Amino acid sequence: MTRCAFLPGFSQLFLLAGLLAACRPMGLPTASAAIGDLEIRRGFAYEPITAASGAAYVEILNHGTIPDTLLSAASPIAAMTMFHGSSMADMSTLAIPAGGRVSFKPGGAHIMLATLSKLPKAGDSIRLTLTFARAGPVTLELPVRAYGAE
Amino acid sequence: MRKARALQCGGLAIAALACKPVGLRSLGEGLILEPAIPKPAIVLTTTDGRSFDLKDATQGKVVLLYFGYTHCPDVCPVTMANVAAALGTLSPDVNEAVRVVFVTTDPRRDTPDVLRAWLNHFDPRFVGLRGDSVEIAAAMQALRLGPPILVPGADDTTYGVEHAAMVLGFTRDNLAHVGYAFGTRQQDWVRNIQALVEQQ
Repeated sequence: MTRCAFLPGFSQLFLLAGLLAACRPMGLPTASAAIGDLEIRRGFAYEPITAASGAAYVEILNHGTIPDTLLSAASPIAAMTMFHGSSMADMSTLAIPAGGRVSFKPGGAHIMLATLSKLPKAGDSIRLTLTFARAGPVTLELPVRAYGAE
Repeated sequence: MRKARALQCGGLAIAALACKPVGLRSLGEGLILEPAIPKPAIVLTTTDGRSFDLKDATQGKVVLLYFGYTHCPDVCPVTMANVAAALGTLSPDVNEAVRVVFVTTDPRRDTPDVLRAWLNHFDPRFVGLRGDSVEIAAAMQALRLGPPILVPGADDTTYGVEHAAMVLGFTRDNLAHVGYAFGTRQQDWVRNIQALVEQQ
């Protein structure tokens, strides 16, 4: 939640209106977190259609000078979680280069949540824990969006 | 935010128009296919077990044809959701003029029931077609699309299927003059579908 400064004065109403507009959340909701040198942002999941699988996305930035490795992901609602490349190729672990980033995003790589115990709806959230070799575990509540959400 | 997005899309639309060959402007924002791809007389099977000759069964209709699979993580469901949302904003006449046809590239996991339930999530009118892997590869070849490629997963249930992600837009002349790439937004679909229907 971004805080907005209040600017008093009748003549500044228009400016205030502009500021309020600028402080409104932009676009679809996403989750973010930080652990050690890592920043995790733009996290979300799609509303799964069937219990067979769902897809989750995050962007991981390494602001440090030492590489890290994403070892695993886990969700309480998924029996199995995997990292899949753009062609669904299985990636067991993922290097996060120093000063670099790894992006899971639609049309590219995704975190596959397989065999779901429940089907969250758009507006719900899915808990996802990412475990890194150096930074350790970090848990996000990923907002769930419909496939047609724009 | 809303205004910023509208401005951005306006800019994109103008850029897209500027890149288009003269004469095909009315076909919307897709990729122009030259030469156009003829609608092949491929025969596949619907989710209720009926034989479906693509050319005969869609004569006189605008067809949006897509190959994909229900375990597809994002490209297929986003495409289907956006087409469904666009149709939802268009008139009954436009809807009546259009057929959306989804051919599975994963007949092993996409049983008739699985495919039907998945398509119903978007729009129960969407036609779901199945065939064996040879028939599907032949159909894709006839449409100048590469065949699906199986990508092994961690186990036998989590494999992926790499496939062409373009939606082919057939006009009533039984030709696809245009294909739509992943990333086509709902408001673009509205214009694209309208343009296909208005094309004589």
